Amino acid sequence: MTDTADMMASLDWSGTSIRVTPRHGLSAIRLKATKRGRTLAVDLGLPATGGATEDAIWIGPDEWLLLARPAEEGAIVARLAAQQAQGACYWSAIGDGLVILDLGEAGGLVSQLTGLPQASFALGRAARTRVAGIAVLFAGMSWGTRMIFDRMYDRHIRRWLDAAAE
Amino acid sequence: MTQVLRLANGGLIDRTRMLRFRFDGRDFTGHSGDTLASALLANGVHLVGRSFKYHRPRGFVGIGQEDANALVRVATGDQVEPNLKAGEVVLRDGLEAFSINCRPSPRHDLRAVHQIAAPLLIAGFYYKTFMWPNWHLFEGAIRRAAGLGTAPEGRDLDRYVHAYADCDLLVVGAGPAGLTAALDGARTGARTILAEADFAIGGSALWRGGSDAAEAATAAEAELRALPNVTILSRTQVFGYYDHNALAAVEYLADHGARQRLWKLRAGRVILASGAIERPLVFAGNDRPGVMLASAAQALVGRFAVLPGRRAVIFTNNDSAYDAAAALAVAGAEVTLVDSRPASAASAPGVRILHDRVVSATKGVRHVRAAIVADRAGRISETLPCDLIGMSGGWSPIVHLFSQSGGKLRFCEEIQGFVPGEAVQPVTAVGGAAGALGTLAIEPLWEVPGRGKKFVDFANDVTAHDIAIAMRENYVSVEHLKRYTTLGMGVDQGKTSNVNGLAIAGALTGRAPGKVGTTKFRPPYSPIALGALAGPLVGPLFRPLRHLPAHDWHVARGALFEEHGGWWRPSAYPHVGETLEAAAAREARAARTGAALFDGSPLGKIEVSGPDAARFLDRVYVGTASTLRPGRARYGLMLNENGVVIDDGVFVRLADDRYLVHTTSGGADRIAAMLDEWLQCEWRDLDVVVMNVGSQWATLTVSGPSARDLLAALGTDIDLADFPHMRFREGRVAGLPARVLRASFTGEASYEISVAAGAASGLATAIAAKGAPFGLTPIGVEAIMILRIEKGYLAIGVDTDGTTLPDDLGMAGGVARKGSDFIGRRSLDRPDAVRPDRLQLVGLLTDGPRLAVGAHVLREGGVPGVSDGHVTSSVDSPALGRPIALALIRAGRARLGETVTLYDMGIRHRATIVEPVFFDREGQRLNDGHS
Repeated sequence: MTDTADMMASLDWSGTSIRVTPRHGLSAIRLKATKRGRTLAVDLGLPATGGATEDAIWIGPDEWLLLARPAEEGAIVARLAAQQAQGACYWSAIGDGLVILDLGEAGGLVSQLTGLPQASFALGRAARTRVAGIAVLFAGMSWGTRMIFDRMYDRHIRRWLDAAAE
Repeated sequence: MTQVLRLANGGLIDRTRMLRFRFDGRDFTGHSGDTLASALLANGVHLVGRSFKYHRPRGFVGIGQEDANALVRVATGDQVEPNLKAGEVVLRDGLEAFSINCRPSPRHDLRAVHQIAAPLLIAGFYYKTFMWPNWHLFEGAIRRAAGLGTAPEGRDLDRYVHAYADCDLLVVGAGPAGLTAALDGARTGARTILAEADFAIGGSALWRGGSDAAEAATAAEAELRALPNVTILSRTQVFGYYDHNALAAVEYLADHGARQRLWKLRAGRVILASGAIERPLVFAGNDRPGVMLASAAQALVGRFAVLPGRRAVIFTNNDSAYDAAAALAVAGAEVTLVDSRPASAASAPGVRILHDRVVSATKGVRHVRAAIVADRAGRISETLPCDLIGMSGGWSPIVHLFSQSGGKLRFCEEIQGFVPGEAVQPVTAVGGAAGALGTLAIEPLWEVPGRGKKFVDFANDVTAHDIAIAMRENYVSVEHLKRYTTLGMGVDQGKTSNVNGLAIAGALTGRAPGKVGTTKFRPPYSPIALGALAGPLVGPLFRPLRHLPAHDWHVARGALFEEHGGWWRPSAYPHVGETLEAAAAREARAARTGAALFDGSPLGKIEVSGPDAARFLDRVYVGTASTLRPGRARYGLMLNENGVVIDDGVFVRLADDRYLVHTTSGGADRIAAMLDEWLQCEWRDLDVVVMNVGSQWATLTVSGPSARDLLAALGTDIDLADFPHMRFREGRVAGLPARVLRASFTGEASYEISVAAGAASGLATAIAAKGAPFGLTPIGVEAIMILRIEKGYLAIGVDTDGTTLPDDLGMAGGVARKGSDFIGRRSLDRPDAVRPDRLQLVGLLTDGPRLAVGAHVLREGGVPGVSDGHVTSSVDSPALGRPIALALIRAGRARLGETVTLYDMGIRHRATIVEPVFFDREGQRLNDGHS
């Protein structure tokens, strides 16, 4: 079976193909603020509701997904551990349990996939929705749209993409 | 056959492109730009099928979506699609189509014998006639005799895709009004979608209004296509209108790749420019092939250059048909116009016009050959030989989508039809859809006097007489009328029949049509393939399947996979020539005698953290979490508010403020959502964080008498000498950071080793390598089921149902011991919850063959039908060498030792009720030497 990124890049959606870059090596950390951690977002520079940066994506009330390069992971974990020690948050390392794909100039495609307006994937915006019946996270980046989903659904997504293209 | 009725000039067909097609095995030709309907008519084929009930010869009433009379079956390769409207089938080279509901052919249909019994087959006949002794005695024969096309039996090989789009303006219909509306909107910069059901843009301008109208439409289309903010969707039928201006449409794609695309559209504003449908007139023999809507005849001439008849009679009660008559005359037909009105200001050059006359009947067998003309009192005045009757009973604006949007309809006297009234969503109707139909000067003529079958609904063979019967039997509500007669049902959805039907009903009961009202319009407006609704979510994609992190490792071990709770899991690892059952038994024996490896990654894992985590879990579990010490584990049940067991599992205290909650494999997402809901909606005072961490951990379970030695051989910094059952440790295993839990679903000493998901295959490989000296055997779900049933471990959803309470499982002790409240506790005190005769989980032993899951326990001396419970799990136990089962049996625990009779598929079995633990009742094997 081909890689999901290859498959997405080879799809023809209304005559448009897209550029897909898999982001291997990024570690994911799921972070949730406690009631005592009301200032966590400010303290850690996390995006506000519905927001996304290259390193952090808002995924729910008081909840973020942090993406760390291997060299930075230790420092991030240390900061989180310090916050957790103060009772401000809890976090859990997801490691490589997520598939992270960067889609270039794919706003139209993602809008068609999800039924959400293109504005939902504008730069700095995050959207949690469903594709192919599974939960998928989208974030608007400067190069296009970042798509993130559970690795255990990788094969399902590939099959679905194959069937869903025209 | 040559195109005998094709005009030498005119039309919008491409005469340079000849297309060959077959109908009922005969070869024909047409042109690019034809539909199957126009091409058949060009070849002189008027008879295309037989009617629904009476098997009367049927031809074309219309030539588009309004025609539910000319239904065909189209074959594409191995694919067959029934009940397509011939006017909606775009002609292509190699098309093969067949008539429906006739055998052997439309000309010679054996079931035409039904016409002899027609007087008996009136509306409601089968409600009354076939009730004794049992409707089902007759049902099969009636269903075979009635009906239209036959549904294909094979799998639909076509692909269907889904797409979403949002826009500022959605215009439905690309006729003159729709094009104008789309241009007006698009020129302001609005993101505009223009959806048109036809493959050509222009609507009525394609055949009415002469070259000026066609040129205007062409120019408008060109301007729209040049605008970047406009999307034109041709061959796209908008069929449903829902809340919040959401609409659904199906687009028919070219004959390659996906066949149809289902659009889910959301629009800021919707403009309905879907036009109007001409109504038939209701007179005797109005269903005979060669009788069609006057506008259809005009469109055949104007758009397709087909002259549908050389001697035409146009029968009308309004001015619009005069254009049709004139167009036929210009094309070379001899035309007589029969106008029911005393006079008209309209004119039709070259046409003989008879005023104050009606067509009271037709003559002909498989094609019309004469129209009987009478005065309004029914006195016959003359017989007009003809090969075409065009009828026009006025026009009905297409209000279906407006009505689906929630908008109110009102009856417009001026056009004698329903038009959009008050809207409740941002929707506007324009053009014909709004009732803007020009000057009709219509004079109502709902039913022409005379004898004979006068059809109102061609698709369902509903006549004016059927409506009269319904009125006589007091089905006066239009909804009752519909259900009693089937008026407006099926592929037609009332497009040509609704207004005539309800007006006739109104005339019979002294009500104006506006007072009778319409039936509820529901999606879909026009039939669509079920495949389009399903889209790509079919077959293996119907339900998202998760794959294990070590999936490839299992594949390499020859695993036989099946879906279990949304996971694609190994059922067993059969050797060559080994059956699934034999493999499962072998694997179960290995777990009892040596060491087994089971991939338990799907086991739900939820971290519950925070200063109030213990309080929270105390409220969620029957068991008590707050008294558990860090590093220890406890089994717990979760109940819903009704006290029903919804999940179970082992929870672990990781730290004072942190727990790891294990749920059933299929229940993790549901339970995580439930925990969040309680926190967000009910217990907002608790400072608790819930994180579903299932996807980040892979869990490989090593189980069996040699499990501890194997773990030691793998290499670990965990002190195995101080690691008893129901304890939890963190450390390194085989060099990997790991969490290890001593819990068991096999009854053997077990170590559940959780590592990062990405490390699963590496750990599995290491276990396999180190496990060889211990006879390590990978085991699948089937073996686990055997092992857990031998131990009497329950599986939620298998050994429980939506009524099972803790006491039914013999687990009331935990409830009694717990001092604090928890979800569902109060419901356990209900009288029904403490009934002594509730279904209780027990074991069953039989000397016979293995009991079937679902087999019912009969009351002693009872007969099948009175059940005292049922088998929930059943296996052949390798450890005991005999079949064993778990069952929910009424007052089961009080009946230990009783022999009961079980009944399954006509066979009775005997079994003895026993305790539900068959193996190692004391649990010695779990402790692995630890006390």
